[in-house]
Amino acid sequence: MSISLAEKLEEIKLQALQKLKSNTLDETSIEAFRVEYLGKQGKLTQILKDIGSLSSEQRPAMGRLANEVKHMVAQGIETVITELKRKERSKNLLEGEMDLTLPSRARYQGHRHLISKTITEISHIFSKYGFQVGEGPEIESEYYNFDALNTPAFHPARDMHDTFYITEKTVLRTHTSPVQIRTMEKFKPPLRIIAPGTVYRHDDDASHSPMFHQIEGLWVDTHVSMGHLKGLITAFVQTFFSASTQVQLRPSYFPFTEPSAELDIECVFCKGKGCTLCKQSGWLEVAGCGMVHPNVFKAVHYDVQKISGCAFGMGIERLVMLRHRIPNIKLLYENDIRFLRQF
Amino acid sequence: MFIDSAWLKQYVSLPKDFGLLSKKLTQAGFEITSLSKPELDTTYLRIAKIIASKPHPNADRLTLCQVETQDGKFQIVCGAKNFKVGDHGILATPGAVLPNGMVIQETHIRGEHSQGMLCSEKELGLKEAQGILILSADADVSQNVRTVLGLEEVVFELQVTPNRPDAMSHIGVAREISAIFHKPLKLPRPKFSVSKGKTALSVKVIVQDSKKCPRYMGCLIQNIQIGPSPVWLVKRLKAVGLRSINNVVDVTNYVLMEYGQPIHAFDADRIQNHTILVRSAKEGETLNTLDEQTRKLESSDLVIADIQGPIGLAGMMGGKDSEVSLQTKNIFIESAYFDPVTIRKTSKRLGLHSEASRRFEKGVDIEAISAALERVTELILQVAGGTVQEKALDDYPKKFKRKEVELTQAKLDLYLGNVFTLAQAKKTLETLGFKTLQFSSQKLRVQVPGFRIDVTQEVDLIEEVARLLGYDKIPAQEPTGHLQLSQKIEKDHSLEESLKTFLTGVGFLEVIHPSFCSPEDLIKLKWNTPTVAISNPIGLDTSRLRPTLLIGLLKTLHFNMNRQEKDLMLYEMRPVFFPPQGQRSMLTGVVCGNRMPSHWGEKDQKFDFFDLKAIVEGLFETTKIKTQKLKFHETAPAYYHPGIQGNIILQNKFLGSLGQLHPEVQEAFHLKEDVFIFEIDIDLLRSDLGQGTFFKPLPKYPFVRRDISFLVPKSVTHSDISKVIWSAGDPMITDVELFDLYLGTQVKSGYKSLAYRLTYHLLERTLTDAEVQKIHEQISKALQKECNAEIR
Repeated sequence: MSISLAEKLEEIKLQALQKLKSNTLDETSIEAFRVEYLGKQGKLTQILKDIGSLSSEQRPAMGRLANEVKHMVAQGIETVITELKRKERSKNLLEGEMDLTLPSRARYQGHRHLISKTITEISHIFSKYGFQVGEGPEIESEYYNFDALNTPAFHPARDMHDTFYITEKTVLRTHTSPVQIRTMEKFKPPLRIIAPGTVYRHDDDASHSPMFHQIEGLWVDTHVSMGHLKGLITAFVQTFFSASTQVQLRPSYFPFTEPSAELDIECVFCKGKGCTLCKQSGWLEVAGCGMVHPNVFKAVHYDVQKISGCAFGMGIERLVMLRHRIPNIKLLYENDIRFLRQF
Repeated sequence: MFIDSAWLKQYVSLPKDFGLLSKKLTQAGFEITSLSKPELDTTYLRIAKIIASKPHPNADRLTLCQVETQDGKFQIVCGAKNFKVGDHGILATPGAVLPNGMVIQETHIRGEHSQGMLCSEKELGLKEAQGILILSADADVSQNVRTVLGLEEVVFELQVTPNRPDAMSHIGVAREISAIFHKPLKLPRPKFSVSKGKTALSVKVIVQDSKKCPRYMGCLIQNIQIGPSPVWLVKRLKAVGLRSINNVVDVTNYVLMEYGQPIHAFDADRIQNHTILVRSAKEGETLNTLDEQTRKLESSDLVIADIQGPIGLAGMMGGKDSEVSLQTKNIFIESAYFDPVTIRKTSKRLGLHSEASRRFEKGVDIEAISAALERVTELILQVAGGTVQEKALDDYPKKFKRKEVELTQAKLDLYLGNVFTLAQAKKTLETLGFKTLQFSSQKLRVQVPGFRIDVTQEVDLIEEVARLLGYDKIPAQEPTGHLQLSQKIEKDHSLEESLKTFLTGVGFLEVIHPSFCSPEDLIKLKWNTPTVAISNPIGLDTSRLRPTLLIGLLKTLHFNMNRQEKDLMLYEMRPVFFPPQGQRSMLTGVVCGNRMPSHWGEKDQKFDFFDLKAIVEGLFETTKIKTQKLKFHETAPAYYHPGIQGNIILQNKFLGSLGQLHPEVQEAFHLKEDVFIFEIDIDLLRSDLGQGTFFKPLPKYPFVRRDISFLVPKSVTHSDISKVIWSAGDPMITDVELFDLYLGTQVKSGYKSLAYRLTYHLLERTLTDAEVQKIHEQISKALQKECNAEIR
């Protein structure tokens, strides 16, 4: 009797496992299968009932065996159901496939203006060299704009700037250099500042805008030389343009620096070979600079015997136009959004 | 100034390669800004002698010429008539391409063989001229075409910086070149003889103001012959852009361009009493100057006068009455030094800028006045005849003392890095005309030549040394030195940066407009407070400084709408200006069109006030100012829509405004879309920023949400309601959210239906149902009482 029950159990087990592995069960037949084996009248349920009639010696071993089979089958059923569900879901997922090439739900993309962005960038570059940003008003007194910068009234150098006057003694600042004076009046040497800002000249044609931007640099210490100025501006130019950009200083004249220089960079268009944009010279002028004139130091009561300094001024529009190949300054202030969105 | 290389060569030899000259001058601080060099391919051009000519057998207007060149004899059919046998011209032989594109070929014209073309100056691209070019009589067929046509010479424009008036002449430039290339300088040595014998005429000069005129020289030349100038003189002047007038005037201009010393010639017989007074003008005096303008003079002006009144405006322009004319027989030549500031003041006031004033106002070489005068005298005697019977007069009471300047090795090293020695400096300065007075290894003392008025102190010498030895010799150095971290120079601009970052994030484009506007713009904007005016504007449209950023923004909206861009979000953050000379930083934004780019899945929606409000609230959120603290009320400026506008108020302080643009203003600026604007005063906002943000504990206990819906009279605002809810719900209420608003016909007239979702929460524990119920009822009662709400 017990032998036959064990054999029966083994047979049911084999049948059940074969069926479970056969891959023929679907959502409804798996339920029927469960009922067939594990239901109240199921084959395994029946076996478990039959075990009750076994002798007490045979019962525990047989019971354990039957429970093992029951567990095995139940787990097999679970596996099949999980697999059926997985299949069903992947089928559904594929049915929900969309045309992903349809246009996105776009947002308007904001852009900073090239000039303000560049001012921020240049300020960042110089802040790495220990320069702080100095400021001054756009409506400026003649004193700060000219007199204190070694350009007294009726000095021929005043002709270098076509000036907008508000009153006889106030102007729209023609350069950012007044910030040098304002800063030195308030702070002691040594100091390093840059001063980005809006400046104005009475000049309006294809290549000039009556309003434009400059960035001024001033470095005063006990040892500053033209060589330091060269090193400083070279470092900047090679960060702003490219690491291989060559730089040259060329003698020039500004009343507030002596010696004075124009700073040229290797032409960004022809890489110094000579083209129409650099007038075949291979160089492009980007800044005026020089050693701070002793008269400027005297105006702010710095001791000219103890210090020296260098200063430079760059046109931001010029830098921007060269770097981004913008042919016309007017594009910067026309505010055509098709232009603004390019940068 | 224009420099003619042929002229320059008289004083210094030039390098063969013009490129080298240009480079070296540039490196020494004189930039060549333009160059006119005759570009002409002369490969197929020959000098041709016309050896025979006869009429063309088949054409009345043509001539058949036999010409001879270094390559042989040719037959040419010619259309011009301005030549004779024996003349030399330029023959373009087959293969030549002329500047006008004409290709020369061997051809037959009306049956006659033509082996080239005799060219006119126009055809050679040299100048406008009729007929073929006839070369000077001494031309020869073996000569180089380029030399004969003067193609090897160039005229260049040199940019002379305002500190270098000494270089505003050919001799001045030659002096620089001589120093740069170490070539000797050859200066003219004027020679003329002073006639003996009694003079019938004599001019007396009385300098009354020797401060304004420290040196005055003059020379009388009698019995001159006014007439046209010789060709060489005309050519020289023309090359540098001056028109020939007559031989005397031309010589004065020639010497001006040669020495840089302005010279004036008076008709000596027009000087009353033959006495010249150099004096300050009398207030209200007038002078009719050479350009036939009547100049009203002031006492600060310096005039050359005779007993009757001014005959010349010193250093600027002569008077019409004493002008040298065809009838002039005797002339008085003036060569003087006038005070630069005096000249500049008058020149600026009168708007009168001449070649003379441009030099005097910067300072001429007071020592070279005599040399220039001698040169003029020599040349006038040469080209206009006449006699000089007296030595030149020279009123020079206080002799110019040359400056002495010291240069130390220490300063040279400090300024230029340790690259140049004093010995090098000494040599360099000497080539520039400085005289060494004292020299040791540590100190150099030099005397500055009279023409270098710009050199007054040590740094000026340093520049001279660096300029001539080469800026490229100064090695770049690492910018080492002291930081100045203890000095807080920089102001905090993180506010501006964070606002810009926010606006960029929500889709705004930043714009920048020039700071100008026009009175008309202000009227269009209904702007009615005073603005800052520019006293010398470029035009009326840019005659004011903008008091608001809005004008530029509205114009830019219009500009872009005209380019089919209608959905726009723009802002500008820049200063605006207010009288008398104030400026403050503003942030102004405008939006119009669709609030989102069109999308296939959604309907387009236009921007409205609530989009704008969200942007403004977002802006304040980035500055850590809670939006609940902001109030939007009071009256915004007149350019706002009267029904859709408000000022932004934080704790009774005005920070800006927002709203819709007034439809009338919208129309005035030709804008087809409704425009919503916000303006925030950045300077005011900055002053309201707190010290920082500090952590608040995160809630540990769950919150409870309850909805409440009710009817209220239409006049009750959301703001009124939330105020009531917040105060009745204190301290448990943490959020009040309006989630439904209905104004339609389903509610009784005069009322609106609102539904709010209220969030209750306590930091320290979970709220009980009973507590929530109680507070919710309190709120409900408060709404009934204070807002006439009918709870639903």
